[in-house]
Amino acid sequence: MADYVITSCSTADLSREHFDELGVKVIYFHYYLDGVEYTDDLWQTRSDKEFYDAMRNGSDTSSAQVNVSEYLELFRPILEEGHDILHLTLSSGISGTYNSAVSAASIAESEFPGRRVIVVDSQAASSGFGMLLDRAAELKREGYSIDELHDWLEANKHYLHHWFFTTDLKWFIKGGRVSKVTGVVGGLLSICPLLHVSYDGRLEPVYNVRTKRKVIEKMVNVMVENAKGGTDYDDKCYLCHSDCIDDVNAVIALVKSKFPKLTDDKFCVNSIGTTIGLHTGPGTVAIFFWSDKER
Amino acid sequence: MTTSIDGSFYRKLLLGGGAVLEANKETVNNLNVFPVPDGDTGTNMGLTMSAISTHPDPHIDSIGAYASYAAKDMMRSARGNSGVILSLFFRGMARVFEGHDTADAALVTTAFREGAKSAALAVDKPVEGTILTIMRECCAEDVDTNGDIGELLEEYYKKAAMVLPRTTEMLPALKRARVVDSGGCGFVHILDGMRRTMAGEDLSSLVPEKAEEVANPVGNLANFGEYETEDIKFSFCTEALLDLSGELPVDTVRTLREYLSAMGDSMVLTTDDEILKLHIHTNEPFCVLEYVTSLGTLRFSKIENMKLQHKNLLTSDGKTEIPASELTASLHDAAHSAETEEKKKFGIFAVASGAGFADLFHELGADRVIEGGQSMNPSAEDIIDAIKSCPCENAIILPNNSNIILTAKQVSRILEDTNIVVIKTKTVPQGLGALVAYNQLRSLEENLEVMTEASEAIKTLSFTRAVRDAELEGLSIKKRDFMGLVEDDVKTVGEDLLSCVEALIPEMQSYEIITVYSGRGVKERETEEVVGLLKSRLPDDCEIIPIEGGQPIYPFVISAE
Repeated sequence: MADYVITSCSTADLSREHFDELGVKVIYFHYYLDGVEYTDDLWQTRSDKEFYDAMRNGSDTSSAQVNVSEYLELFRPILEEGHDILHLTLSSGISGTYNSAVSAASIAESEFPGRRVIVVDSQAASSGFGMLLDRAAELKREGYSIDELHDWLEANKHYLHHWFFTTDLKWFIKGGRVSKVTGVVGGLLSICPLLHVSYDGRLEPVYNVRTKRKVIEKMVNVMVENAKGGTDYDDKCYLCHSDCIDDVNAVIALVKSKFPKLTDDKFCVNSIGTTIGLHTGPGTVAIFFWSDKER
Repeated sequence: MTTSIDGSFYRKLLLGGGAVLEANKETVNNLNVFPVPDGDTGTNMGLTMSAISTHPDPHIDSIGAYASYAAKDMMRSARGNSGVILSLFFRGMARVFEGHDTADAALVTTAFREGAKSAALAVDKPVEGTILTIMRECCAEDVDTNGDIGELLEEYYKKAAMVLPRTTEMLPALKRARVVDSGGCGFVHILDGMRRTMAGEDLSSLVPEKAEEVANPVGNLANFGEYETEDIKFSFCTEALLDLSGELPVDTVRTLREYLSAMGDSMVLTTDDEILKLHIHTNEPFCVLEYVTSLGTLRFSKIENMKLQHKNLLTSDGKTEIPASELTASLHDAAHSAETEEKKKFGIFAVASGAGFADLFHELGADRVIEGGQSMNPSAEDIIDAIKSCPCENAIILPNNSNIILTAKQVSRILEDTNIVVIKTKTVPQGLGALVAYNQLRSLEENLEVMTEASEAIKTLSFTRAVRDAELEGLSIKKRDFMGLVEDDVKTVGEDLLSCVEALIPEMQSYEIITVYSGRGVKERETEEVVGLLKSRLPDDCEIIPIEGGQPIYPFVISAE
């Protein structure tokens, strides 16, 4: 049985060091800032603070997927070395990149007879996607074969819950993510929608809550209801944010007060990367945890 | 002596009852329990009864068939609590008449009792000292009139007129305000019209008299004279129906609403992609029509001088009016064409008055906002029209006023192909709170739960000026005084607004979000003063959010949640 390599993309929103530590090779998405293309290189050429400040100052932003030839550039050297590939993509409910990866995989397999490239739709996003990747890498280290890991991912990916809120509706409205709350009224009423990633990997508003303090309470209550083992939950808890670390800290403080087994080492905080961030804008906080219920 | 009545005679009785009620509408309106200008009981009951006179005589001889035809019409036109209760009374009567070509005295008695019973059944918590008491008491005792229906109605009227003054004692709110129940009074007038019709009197050209000249059926209510007719008066009831070539842009409708709310009151405006229907009371009907007709092709219009309004039933006296059947047909077509589109899972229908509130509901995702509120309750038909213009599987109605909840419930009895759900929102902030919690992706049950929960968590304080002197809840209120209400209860009275707000600050303690909705014509500086006062007196972590509500009557509505 051939050895395999896990590959993924920059939208898993982990730090450069974290990806390296997991031994996961990543391909970078792209983004445009005022018409100029940049690489979503995990904040190496532009810091998260600079990126979100540019958005606040009205810069025009958009994202660009990884295309088939870029995927091939990622896959080929690995296949040449005689390894198989398990590639995990950003949720197909958010991006079309899964299709490009599948196309690239079939081309690559035809170029390297006998090699396998398995593409898995993570149905996850941002650091939730990262948390899934982290678990996948851990299982690989434990000795899971490529097929075992593939099966495990398909069977378990929906148990990873994503919940996130925003305190600035502007960006969600712009991106059509919050269709019901239009205009400025939501902002006037201090409405902070609480969203999740659905079973089919899409971003869905679930609750509308007024004021930041209440939405934080609601988010943590949702976690109490859904986390595996309830308040006895002791698995990892990832969070990410778009330039609002104070809000993340408020969430963590409340989570710790409800979940005594969640010690500091269970938490992992990242910045929301440019691909997801240009849809959420600044002011978004997300939390990820394992549940015993499919989302 | 009349021992038997048929369908066409029953219609005459209803017309007579409606005519006397219409003539005394202002008296009934002025029997306000609360000294805020929501005295529309007479208007609402009148609009319910006018379903008979405004539709052409269907010439149905059988009393069973006609009574059910008439009851259906009345239910559709019913407005306000008393109007809805009244229509249910007649529906109850119709059930007894069903299957009979004519009715004798015994059947009329049974019908009255059944009417009273079905009206009471429809009320959540029936209260004594209201129209329900009068309905029940007037026919409670067996009266032997040797089969004469005329004498029977005479007796019922006398009994009702005798019980009416007692309502003052039965209901503490009435006692404090020293009035009889307005709905009960309206019902006495209807009985009066019915017995006078039986006696052969022609009431069709009865002219509304001034309140103090009205022969008061209950006699010794000397303090009637203390009550003024109305502060503001718009003389012309103006209606228009337009054909549109497509849905009007949101901005156009908003501008139209703003324009209209400045031109008069009692506005009801509904529009979809084919028609625009307007009802308004104004002093400048031609300006209104000129503006409105610039938006589409005029199909029908009507201007009536309400001061001179009388029931001219048989001639059309020069009014350009299209037959009701044609009007119904066009509404039906509009509804039909809309039905062919795919039905939405949910439709949200909110009742609100004021452009600001309407906009808030629209922008938070309400499918239709039905104009109405404290000063003008919409009819069940207004709500039905709105629902028909937006076909959906589940219609969620936000009445946003305790007087409209019953009307909203009425809708579910009429519209059978749509699942109608009423969230019992008693105030506009409660309605907005419910709408914020709504999520179209969730199931109906989940939505009902979270919407009800959200609305119940909201406390509403409103501030307004008294339009007349009154004694209420142990408070002595002078005309022009400011009053502060918590939900429906007057809690404080003062000469200026700020002191009223200040007096109610304890009511807002321990809440986390205070939203201050400023009313129509309120200056920015006044809002700043109120917000400043709240900020200085409430805890720092309490968020105070000012919003332009644009509501009439109440300069400020404050919600705490």
